[in-house]
Amino acid sequence: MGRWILDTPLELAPLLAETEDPACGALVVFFGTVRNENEGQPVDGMTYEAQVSMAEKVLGAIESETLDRFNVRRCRIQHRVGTLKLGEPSVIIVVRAAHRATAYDASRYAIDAIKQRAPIWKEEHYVTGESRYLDGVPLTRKDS
Amino acid sequence: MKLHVTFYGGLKQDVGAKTQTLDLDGDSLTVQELGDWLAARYPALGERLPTVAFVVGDEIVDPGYRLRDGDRAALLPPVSGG
Repeated sequence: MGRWILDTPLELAPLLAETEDPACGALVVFFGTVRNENEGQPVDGMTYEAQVSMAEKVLGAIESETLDRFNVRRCRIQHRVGTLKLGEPSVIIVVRAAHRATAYDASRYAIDAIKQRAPIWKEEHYVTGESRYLDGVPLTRKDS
Repeated sequence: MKLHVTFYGGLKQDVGAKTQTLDLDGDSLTVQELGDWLAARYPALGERLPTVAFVVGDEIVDPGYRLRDGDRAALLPPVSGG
C-alpha cells in the first residue's frame, strides 16, 4: 500500500502528530465510517477496493489542491481498502488552519473530491448474506 | 496479440474474474475496439461501458488510444469511495 491507501486499520494519532503546527488554531478531523444501513437495507460490513497506484496519486493531488485553494496549512488524507466492520473508519481527513472557517471548508472540499475522483469502489454486505457494489461517479480524463 | 486486462468494482462480476489475458487477432487495436470485443462477450459489461474509464499506465485514455501486444489495461467503473 502507501502513504494514502492503507490495508490496515486507519489511525488518527500518527496523522495528528505528522500535521502538528503551532501556527494553527483550528483542527478539523473528518472520519467516514461504515454505516449500518443503506436505502433501508441493514448492512453488516463493507469491502473497499482501489486501483492503488492511481488512488495514491489522486489523493496526493487532492491534498495539494486543498492546501492551494484554501488558506490551510496542513492536509492529510488516508483511505482504507479491504473488508471493514460496522463503525470502522474508511477514510480520515485531517486539516489544520489558522482559523476554523477555512479548515471546515477545506475538509468538505477534500471529501467531496475523493468521492468524485478517487478510483475506489465499495461493495456493501447485507445482513441477508447478499452484497452489492454501489453506484458511483464516472471518472473522466481530467481525474487521472 | 495478448492483452492483460484488469476489471475493477462490479465489472469483475460481469466478466467472472478480476484479471484476464485476452488473445486477440492482429497486432494492435483501439480502446473502442477492445470495448466492442468485450461487450460482444459480456453483455452486462457492455451495458455499463458508457460510464467505464479505460486506463493504461495509471492514465485514463481516449477511445482512439491504440493498444499493442503485451499492454496492460484496466477498466474502471464509476467510483464510490469515501
